[in-house]
Amino acid sequence: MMADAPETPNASPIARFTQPVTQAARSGWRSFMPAFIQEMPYLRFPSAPNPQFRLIEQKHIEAIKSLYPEATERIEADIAFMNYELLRLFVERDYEAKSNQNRYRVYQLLFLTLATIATLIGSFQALALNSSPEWLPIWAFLETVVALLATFLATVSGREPPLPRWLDNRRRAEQLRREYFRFLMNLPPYDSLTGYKRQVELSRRAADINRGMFPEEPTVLSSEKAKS
Amino acid sequence: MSAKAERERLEALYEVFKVAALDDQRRYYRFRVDRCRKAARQVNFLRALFSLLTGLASALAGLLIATAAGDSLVSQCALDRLGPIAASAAAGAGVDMAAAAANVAAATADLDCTLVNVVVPLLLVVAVVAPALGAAFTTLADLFQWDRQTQIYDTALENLEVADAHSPVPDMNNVEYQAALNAFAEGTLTVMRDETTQWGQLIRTPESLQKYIDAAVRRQNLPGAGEQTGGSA
Repeated sequence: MMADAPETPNASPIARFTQPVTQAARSGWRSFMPAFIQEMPYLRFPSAPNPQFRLIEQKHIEAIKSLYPEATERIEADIAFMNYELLRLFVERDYEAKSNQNRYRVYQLLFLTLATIATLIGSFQALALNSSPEWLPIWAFLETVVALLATFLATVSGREPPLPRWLDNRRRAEQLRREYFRFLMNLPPYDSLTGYKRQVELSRRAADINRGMFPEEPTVLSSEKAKS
Repeated sequence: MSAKAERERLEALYEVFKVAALDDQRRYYRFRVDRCRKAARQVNFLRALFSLLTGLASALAGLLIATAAGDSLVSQCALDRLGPIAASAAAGAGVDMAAAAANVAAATADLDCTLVNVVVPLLLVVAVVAPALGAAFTTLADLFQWDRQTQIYDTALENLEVADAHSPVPDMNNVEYQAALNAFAEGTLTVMRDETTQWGQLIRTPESLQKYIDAAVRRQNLPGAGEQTGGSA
């Protein structure tokens, strides 16, 4: 009989939660495909962000609450405040980033497919020149169709280009994520504020990040220097 | 707040941050490193396979044609293919070529033209299709940048371990615990920030694909050829 695995001395009591939190779509059948196919974009992407998404899942909070029932009061209050002031912005930015990433990759893969087909048609055209010239008009027609499709796709994808939108929204979402934990951990600039002032500062910084004005991310050291 | 209550609050904060930020990032980086490594390996294998197929098909087609030409198989099979066409054309023109067609048929009756008429064209098709597919997979690898992603997430994982090394330990007094907790949290947030910055720099539209898109845009005479997908030309 196998012996039970020894417990790690400093293992977190909530370490059993092993999946990274994400609002990305997960498809069952893809998990059986090669890794590079799992990386491919989705043709049917969710039409709206997941409003239930949380950076700290309720089960985590419950687990910590069972260990530190009194100490979690302020943590819960901070989380509840951030769920409205910051998290909804994060969820929207994260969704926009994912949606544009998906759109960008769909377009790029369509262009890639068209470029490959155009190459193949060109090669067959060159072969047909010698062996079956009667096929040349058909190859030429197909080449034209592919070129027209590429132009059509370029026109469609040209409106609201997805790449800058993907990068911009991702940058904002990631800074909002960091701001979430900065506030929770009471790191600068929140360490020197209390009460409503601390909350107002979070609201202001979150709104700035959301509109693309990235506030400074001070460290404890730089904050101490500034104070002195 | 009493020292005990303050200590409990700090410990609770540590647990929350460790699980929701550090461990979550660590799981994500590990997942990405694993996924990107696998994807890069698979696509690289396919590229090599298509390259091999191209070479083999070209070499084999060359060998078969050279052998068939040596045995006059190519010209005889051409005669075999053209004989019925010539007879049909002659009949259409009112010329009696039946005897000549019969002679051609008799001369090529025992001829096996599978090699020249089927195998060689098939090899030529492989020699044309395989490099195109190989190039497509090269562009795919350029588009997803799996190797660069692996490098970035691998470095982030290593740096995360450095941040984790600043974790507070139970023997510390409250002041030390708070300082260690700050260093631990700030270190983790810095790793997250650095990873995002580096990641943003590697997302580019592959040059070959961008040229193709620009050409498609030029055909339509649309302005802003380089901005259609927001990529760098």
